[in-house]
Amino acid sequence: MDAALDFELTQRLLDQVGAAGFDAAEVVLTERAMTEMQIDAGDISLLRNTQNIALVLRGIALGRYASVHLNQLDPDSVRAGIEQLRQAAQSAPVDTARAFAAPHGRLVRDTGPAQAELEPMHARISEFAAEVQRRHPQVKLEQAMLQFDRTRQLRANTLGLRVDASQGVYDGQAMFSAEQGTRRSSFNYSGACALDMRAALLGWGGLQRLIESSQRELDHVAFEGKFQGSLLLTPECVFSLLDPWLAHLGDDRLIAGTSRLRGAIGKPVASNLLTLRVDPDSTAFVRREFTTADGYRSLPSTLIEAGVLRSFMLSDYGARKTGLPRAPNAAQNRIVEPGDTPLATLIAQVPRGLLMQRFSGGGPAANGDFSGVAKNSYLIEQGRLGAPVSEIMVSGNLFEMMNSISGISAESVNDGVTAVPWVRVEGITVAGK
Amino acid sequence: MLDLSTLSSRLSARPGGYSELRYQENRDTRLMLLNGQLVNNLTQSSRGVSARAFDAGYWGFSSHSMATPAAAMKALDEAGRNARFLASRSAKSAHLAAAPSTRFDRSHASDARALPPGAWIDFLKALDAWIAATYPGLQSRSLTLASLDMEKQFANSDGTLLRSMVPRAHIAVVLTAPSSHGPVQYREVRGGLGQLHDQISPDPASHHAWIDQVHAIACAKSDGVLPRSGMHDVILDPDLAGILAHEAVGHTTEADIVLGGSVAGQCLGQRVGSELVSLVDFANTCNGVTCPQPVHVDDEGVTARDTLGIDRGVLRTFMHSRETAAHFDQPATGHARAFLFSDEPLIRMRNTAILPGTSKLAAMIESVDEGYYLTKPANGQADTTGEFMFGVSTGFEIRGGKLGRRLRETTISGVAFEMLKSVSMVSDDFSWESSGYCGKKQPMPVGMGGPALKCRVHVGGQ
Repeated sequence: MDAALDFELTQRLLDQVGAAGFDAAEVVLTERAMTEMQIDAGDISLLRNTQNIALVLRGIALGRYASVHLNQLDPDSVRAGIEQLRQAAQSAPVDTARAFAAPHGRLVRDTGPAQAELEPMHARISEFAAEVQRRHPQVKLEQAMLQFDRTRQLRANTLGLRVDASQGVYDGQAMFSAEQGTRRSSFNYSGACALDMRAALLGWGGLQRLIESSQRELDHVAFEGKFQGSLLLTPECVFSLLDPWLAHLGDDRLIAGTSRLRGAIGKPVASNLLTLRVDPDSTAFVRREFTTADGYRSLPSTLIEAGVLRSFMLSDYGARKTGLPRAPNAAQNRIVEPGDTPLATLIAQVPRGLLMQRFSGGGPAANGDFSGVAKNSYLIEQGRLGAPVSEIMVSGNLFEMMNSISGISAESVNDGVTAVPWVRVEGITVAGK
Repeated sequence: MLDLSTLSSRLSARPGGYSELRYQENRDTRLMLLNGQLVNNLTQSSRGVSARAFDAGYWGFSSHSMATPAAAMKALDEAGRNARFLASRSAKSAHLAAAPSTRFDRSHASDARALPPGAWIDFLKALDAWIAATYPGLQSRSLTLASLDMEKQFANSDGTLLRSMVPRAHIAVVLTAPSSHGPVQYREVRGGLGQLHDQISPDPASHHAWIDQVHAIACAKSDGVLPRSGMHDVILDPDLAGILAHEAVGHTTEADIVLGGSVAGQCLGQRVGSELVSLVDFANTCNGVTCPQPVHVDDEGVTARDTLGIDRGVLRTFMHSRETAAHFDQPATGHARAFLFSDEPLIRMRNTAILPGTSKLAAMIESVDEGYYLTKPANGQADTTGEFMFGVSTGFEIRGGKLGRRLRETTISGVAFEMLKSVSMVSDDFSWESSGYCGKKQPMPVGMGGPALKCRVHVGGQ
């Protein structure tokens, strides 16, 4: 059944959930249309379009909570979904921390293009393949995708919350490696978002730099030996190690009581060089965050200010469970503040270390110990960027690492969602064969 | 549910190249207790119809969440239009390997009556209460029940008709114990092919012995050490051999990754491992027993067959879609699968395993003077260079042929074909790991298995 997506529909759904015995309910209805062009092994291979509806029903009945996700709106499917919700809530324990977001005025947002422009998309992705081939003939595009995504999300709950948020975004991603005879580089990948097809794909985010590097990495040598030294993380690599640390600010660890940062608000948790902010809905970004996962209007915040922890990253449920403040956003649009030091100087200051462009490792341990392979990496010796290296592992501890940040570049890369500079840390064990 | 058999005649009647329709529904349940709090109580269903068309070397794809005959025909028209859009702008030479038409209809749905959702919440609450009472010193505990049913119908212009339902269900426990060097965590998971009530006993007491073991290991990790980083002789427990087969070898031999630059592209017919190493990607049955992810006919209508990837150390074949099979002039192997109705089929592993040998695990450990016995895997990744990585959540030092101190987390890596050539012993054990998801453009449930192996790898640590 083709139902019009509007607040009349969400109200009917709320009424149906209420009639099933729920005293509080929320409906999140998302319509998504996606168009994608894909390159495989260097050639355009696929044009794909998808249309989907996602319906999330959440309900609280006498303090018992459940959620059901479906992607159908016909009456039979909705009835069956509500019945599943009722049964799931029946045996849930009473949890007074479950609640829905209070209304904050009707939020209506609509950004980005309304639909994909197929001809410009085709022109840009063809140009991308041709330019990579022309400039870097040894680089092979294993896969590249140019996607246009248009979503509209309606959220309504029994407290009166109403959100109507739409966004259209182009997203380009590529995975590539270099090959010449029997020599190969590690694969790498990157991408960025945009609001239009005006700029050539090769200029998006850090793609050009990483693809150029891929060709140089053909000359990689297997590293032998072991040392403790500096690790310079490229913008694309920073959150590989920062995200597991940030997990200690989130629901799971704080509720479980295993966070190592629980009592750390207002205390130094990192080098004073580090400031990490979140600026949702900033025009500096393409893919923006309008509300948190709970439906609160997203507001800017500072997570770390000159090394001092200012905020956790808790949902509404996590905040009520722990008694700690709710995060004012979902931390999508993150900004690591750039420093004062040019990248060239960050390198020149290193007696012995590694420039790491990609980290491939197991999940860090609960105490922050980590180890993994430093991919697409270069030795730094006596302040000079040396040979690309392979078969090289790095290990350390995330908490020690955050306190050992010794430099942050003045240069930064904005991929349309985050803005990140180069970050140098000390005391990392680097080991080869 | 949409019945594609009523629409299949309209596929073969269409002009142009190959086309296919797929109706798919994924049904998930996820329940999670964290320190006794029900933090996840989710039931999820995603269904819809998709179409793919192959025209002059290009693919067009379209999907809709409305699962009606009209939506199916609309998707078919759009898929055809998408393929023609690409074909009209540049020429391309690509073909599809033949796949004789076939019919297959098999559901692995349980015959037993499902328990109501509330019963599983009550089960978790009782088990959690027992853990809290029995092990009060734990810093945290979590229990997760997860199930995924993947139901598909498929029809193509070759005349193939497929109906299948493949379910899997697991229970995972994560215990966190305090230690002098910060909290230590240990996770184990059980389950496999089947629905929740097939795989998981709803009697909490039946899980107590298992959780006792998990607790013992978590506590032992509290006193654990980090390994010394560098190249070492290691014994990989059967639990690890499967992820090794998947990451170190499997991915490098997926034909799309071969075309994208994998080192395996130059190694067909060459020795890539010791004579002790044979690797098979099983389609659906191994030694008469159904594999964790049985595939009989894939999402391109190809009858799935076992592929002998490595035969006594020699690389024999890649894993193919119909397009890559034609490119390499090899038969199609039945490796194309899609995760959601809105996903296109990609080359995916199915049940990848190293075959058992003849050695005994105890003798293998005794044979190592200084090294490690690694027992539990975490996530992993493969590279075009053949370098692999996977996380290891625990193991033991080996000193003088004897097990020593317990290990905390580490990561191991190596160059796959060098590591395989270093394999000097293979045990006569075998076990499947069935809870894993393979990442690529889409997630996908996979099975991974193997015996214990003795080899040399790069171990991360201090």
